[in-house]
Amino acid sequence: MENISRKLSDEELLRLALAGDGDAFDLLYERLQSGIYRFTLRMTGSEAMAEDITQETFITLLRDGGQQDAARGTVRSWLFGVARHTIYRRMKRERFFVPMTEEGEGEEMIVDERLVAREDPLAALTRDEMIESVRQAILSLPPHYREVVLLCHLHEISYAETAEVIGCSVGTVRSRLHRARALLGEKLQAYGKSKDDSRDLLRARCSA
Amino acid sequence: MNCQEFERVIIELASGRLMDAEWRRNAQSHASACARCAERLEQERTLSARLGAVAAAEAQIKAPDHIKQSLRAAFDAGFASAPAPAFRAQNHRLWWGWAAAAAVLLLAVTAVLWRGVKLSGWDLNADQTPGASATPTPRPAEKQPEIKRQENVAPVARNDLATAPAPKRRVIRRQREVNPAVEPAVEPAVEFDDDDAEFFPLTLVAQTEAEGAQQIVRVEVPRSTLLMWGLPVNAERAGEMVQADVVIGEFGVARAIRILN
Repeated sequence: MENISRKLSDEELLRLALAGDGDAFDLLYERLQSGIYRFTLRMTGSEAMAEDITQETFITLLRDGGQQDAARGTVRSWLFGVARHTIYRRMKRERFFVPMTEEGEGEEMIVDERLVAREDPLAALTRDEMIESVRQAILSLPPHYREVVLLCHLHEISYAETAEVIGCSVGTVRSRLHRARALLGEKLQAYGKSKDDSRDLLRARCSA
Repeated sequence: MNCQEFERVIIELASGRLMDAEWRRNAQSHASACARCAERLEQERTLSARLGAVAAAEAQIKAPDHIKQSLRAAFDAGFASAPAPAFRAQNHRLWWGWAAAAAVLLLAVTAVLWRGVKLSGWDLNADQTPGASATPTPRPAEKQPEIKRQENVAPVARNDLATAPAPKRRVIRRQREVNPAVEPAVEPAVEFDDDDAEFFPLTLVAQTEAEGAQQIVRVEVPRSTLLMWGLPVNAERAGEMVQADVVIGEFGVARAIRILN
């Protein structure tokens, strides 16, 4: 991989990879794999499904990457579009809307240690709870709202590129994002209220 | 800037996205003057901060290493031959299964119609010149008998097949297309009188082809076949034959059937 300059664009790496350059493929994979995997993981809520779809997405890149048109978008947005298409196809076939994490998956959630290492345990616990509640709230959104939240906020992709991925107008992206955030706010508010109620109940039991 | 315009840019303002500098100043000044919009902005900022925390927490998540190993193996082996995931193959199998089922159904309908034409006395070779073969092999298209409605008979509108009763006393004329150079004699038309039975649609396509050419063919069909199509016949006499009129649409597809006895 040392032979391949890291200054090469994704499009150039794809061209080299399709010509048989394994180092170019490795570098391109390293750049894009995390985003694709996280997107599929949060869209499906299943690690096994996310692994399958990520693998199929990159196989599609190897097989059909020559069809990617740089004039119509970036390699990244094209690949997100492939992953999205695969996700919806799997959803349609398997009807696997999974609002809950798989058994044991919750304990394996990776949390950035830099965020929690210097905090006291209570603050870390609160932050973990908050993050998990947001994850669950996102996962409970309808897919067409979930995807805009993931792409625009968790992957910080522009509205225009998100529109390329989804295949709709920028205006549609904006309106869906608006509605998705309103739904998220409602869900998180309900979650916060239920948490306050449980704390009140615990306090009442302790003082009784 | 009013509250409606503020609502349009509130997400960009709360999440720190790029926006026009003048719009940003106007939005901020509006929020400082409008308590309701200031509260909305605070809610959106809280939500953006939570989403940002999730994004930061997940920034280091990577795909498992075995995916890269599998992909690299596929790349090295020639990625064109990389095995597709199992579900793709299942999808293809499902598609081919439906195609095979459709082909079998089409063959069954064709066989029933062919048998019905023969049993109803329409010998395709009866009008051939002396010396012609007596085998039931179909003749070329220009010599095959064709069943046409009389011109004064209203065509059966296929979108009405399911509901509209058949016209009373409709006459079906059997008429051959004759090549005058070969067969100058024209056989008199044979007429059948219909009863008032109702047509049942056989395909979903019937409602979409109201204007296409169509023919009505009288056939004899086993009751068991009608039962298979879900038509109202006596199951205890499934082995018997019944007379029926079949509406043949374009491409020779049976569109509707009417039981005569």
